[in-house]
Amino acid sequence: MNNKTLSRAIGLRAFTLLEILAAIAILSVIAINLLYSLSEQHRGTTDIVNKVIAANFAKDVIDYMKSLPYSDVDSSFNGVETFVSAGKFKDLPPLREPFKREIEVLEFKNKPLVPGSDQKINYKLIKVNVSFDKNLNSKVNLIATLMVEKFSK
Amino acid sequence: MTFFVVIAVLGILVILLTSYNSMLRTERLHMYRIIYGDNALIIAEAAMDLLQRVVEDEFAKTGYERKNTFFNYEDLIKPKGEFATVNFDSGKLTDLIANSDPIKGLIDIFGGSRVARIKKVEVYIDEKNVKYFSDICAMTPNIIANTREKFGIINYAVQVEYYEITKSLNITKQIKIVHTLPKALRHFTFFVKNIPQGTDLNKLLVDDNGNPVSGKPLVLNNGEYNSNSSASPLDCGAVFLGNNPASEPLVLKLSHGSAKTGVGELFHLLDKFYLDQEFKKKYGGNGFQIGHYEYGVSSGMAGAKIFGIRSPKDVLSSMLKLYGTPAEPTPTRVLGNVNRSYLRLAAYQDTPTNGDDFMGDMPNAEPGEFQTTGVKPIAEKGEEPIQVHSCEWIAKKILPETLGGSDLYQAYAEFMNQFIDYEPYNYSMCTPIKDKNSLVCDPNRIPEFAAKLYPSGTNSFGGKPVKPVDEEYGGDDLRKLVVDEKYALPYASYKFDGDRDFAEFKKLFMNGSNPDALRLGLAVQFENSVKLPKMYIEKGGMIICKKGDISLTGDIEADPLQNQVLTIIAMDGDITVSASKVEAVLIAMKDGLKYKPAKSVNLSGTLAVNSMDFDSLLACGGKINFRPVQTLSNAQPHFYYASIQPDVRRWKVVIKGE
Repeated sequence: MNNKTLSRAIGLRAFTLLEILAAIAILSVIAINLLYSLSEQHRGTTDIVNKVIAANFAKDVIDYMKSLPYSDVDSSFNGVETFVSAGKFKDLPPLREPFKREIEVLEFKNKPLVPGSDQKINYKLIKVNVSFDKNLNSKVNLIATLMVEKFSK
Repeated sequence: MTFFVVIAVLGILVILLTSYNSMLRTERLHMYRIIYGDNALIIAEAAMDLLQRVVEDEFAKTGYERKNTFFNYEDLIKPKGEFATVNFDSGKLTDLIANSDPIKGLIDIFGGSRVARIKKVEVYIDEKNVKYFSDICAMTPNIIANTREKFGIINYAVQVEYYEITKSLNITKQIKIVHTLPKALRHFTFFVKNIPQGTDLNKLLVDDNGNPVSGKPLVLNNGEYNSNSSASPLDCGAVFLGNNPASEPLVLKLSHGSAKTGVGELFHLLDKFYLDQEFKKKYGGNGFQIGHYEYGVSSGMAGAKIFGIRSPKDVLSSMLKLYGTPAEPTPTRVLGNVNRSYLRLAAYQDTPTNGDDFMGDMPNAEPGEFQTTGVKPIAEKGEEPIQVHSCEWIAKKILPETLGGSDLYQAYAEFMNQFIDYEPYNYSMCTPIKDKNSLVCDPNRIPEFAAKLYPSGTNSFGGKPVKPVDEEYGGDDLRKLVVDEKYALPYASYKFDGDRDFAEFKKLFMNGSNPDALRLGLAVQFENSVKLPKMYIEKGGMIICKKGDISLTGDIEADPLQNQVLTIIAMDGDITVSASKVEAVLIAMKDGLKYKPAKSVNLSGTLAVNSMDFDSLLACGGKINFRPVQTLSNAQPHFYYASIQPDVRRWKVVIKGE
């Protein structure tokens, strides 16, 4: 009894080509989706890693500016710096390609602490955008901090 | 078989890919959590910064009136044994911080209130972390510690949620709660610890009208005295004159006063004749009332040794006018071994006369005129018409019948114009004191009058302090009161080197729209000499110079609406006053120091010095006005200041992720 005869005798039969192709197709679809997902995850991971780096670049500036006297933090810091133009922060770690840092100092004088309050406050908000995609405009990590000068009545 | 192998391999591949995918996803989520957590912390740091400003402003608001919004100031100043905790109103603080414009602006930058919010804000001081200066510091000898003064830890906590990540930021800082009026000394208008033997305080010559003939007096205003309900010298500034040796009393000769010149002590003396109860006790009245009119001495009295005045003395009067002026009388208590010398005129009245309380002067008469010189008595009982009677006739009426001849004259002279020497300076506290409005200081209105107004009597050398001074000084001799390094230095919150650091001092405490305005609210210490410029005190406190001199180069004025007191202490140096007006407490008590006024002093507060150059004082005179607000008891909150310590090394930052 040859193998073919044996298989038939015990009730076994081979997959047809069609079945195999169908199975491979299904597995391929799954695999392709998984690979795509994997690719997306990888891209997302790269993105988040860049975001962490961007956040650190932003924090560098914020820490630096918070160490300055209140009066020294003003709109003269406003502007954009890239990895080719160090800007005003030569003492800070240099930006890497493709990061770009944009600073904006917003100053508020004699504002009520809360609406209607007779307690007035001078403060500054320091906004830092760090973008990092190749086009330098789509990926933005935005953080900010607050500096308070004084209360008055 | 091959098929199964292929399927298995593909399956394993799928599993691996799924796992890897999941791992990447988890990692990415983790990194997002880090970023969101960091952002939450940035918001928390900003909120913490603002919170600390709010709390410090809350303490800064703790001015005289202590109208606090977020906590009960009474809790903060409770004494040891009663103090439990100070809780700030967490709900109010959370609302304030979360709804403040700066934090809302910041949250908007981070994505708005949909993704970020301040969850909770807390501030509290725990009893377990509080220590009392009275326990920790070895206090200056005989200074009774104030158990309300303490230091401890103030805890700040901020909770922020950002994309469902919650972060808590906790910061602890040291806080000091101190009373910035100097212990014991704050109850005095004028305190001179050491007046050397031989110092002549009686150098001011006045004429018959009380006008100064030479020199200028130092006039004290120890507090207003014009109310029946509060007519108590206890509410006024006291005076201490310490002498060396203390067994020899200082004698101040009092001049009679002139309302025009403001020189004299009419308030301390009596402006009307008053009944001599001692005479009544001694002689039974004998139908007459004997009165006295206490008077000062003046240049015109130089010739008064005629008319029976037994001891004309010299007529120079004291340059210290401790009871104000006739125009502005003021009560006080003079502590120390101090006597007064003055002229007393005698008068008499026939009791059954017309009911008027007028008394006639006892006529002056020399021995030879004793029987011939006379006056018309107010009335002789039953005498009609009223006759002129000789001095001898009057003397026989009021003096014991056993006396006669020269003895009678001498006894009569005792009741005529005479100098009273070596009478305790507070003597008139025993008799009604009348001010210019004839208001009476009634000792009966003062509880425990004798105990409070008089030293115990066991120590006449320097005097045991009396209440309220002895609530802060436990010694029996005020001459031993010292202001050493333990007296105030532990209270200091900021330390500066000296004058070269004054710019930093100005930056911290004189940074308002008015460049002269001082907003202190704590104790600061200068290690070396410092010059204090013109100042306008919006918030008082204590400025201490550890070693070196303090120069007041500009006027120091207190905001009249704020009731603030600035205390200036030179621990080991002089205080030089170039200003014409100083509203502050000045203390320079180190042995060997001598306060030497270069120009007329016009001080509102206290002048407490080791010694004084009275020759310089005579040349320029001056005025010291006690500020009655200084007599507030320690139980009242007005001069306790709470200050957050600036030393960042004491900071403890705890970051917790939830």
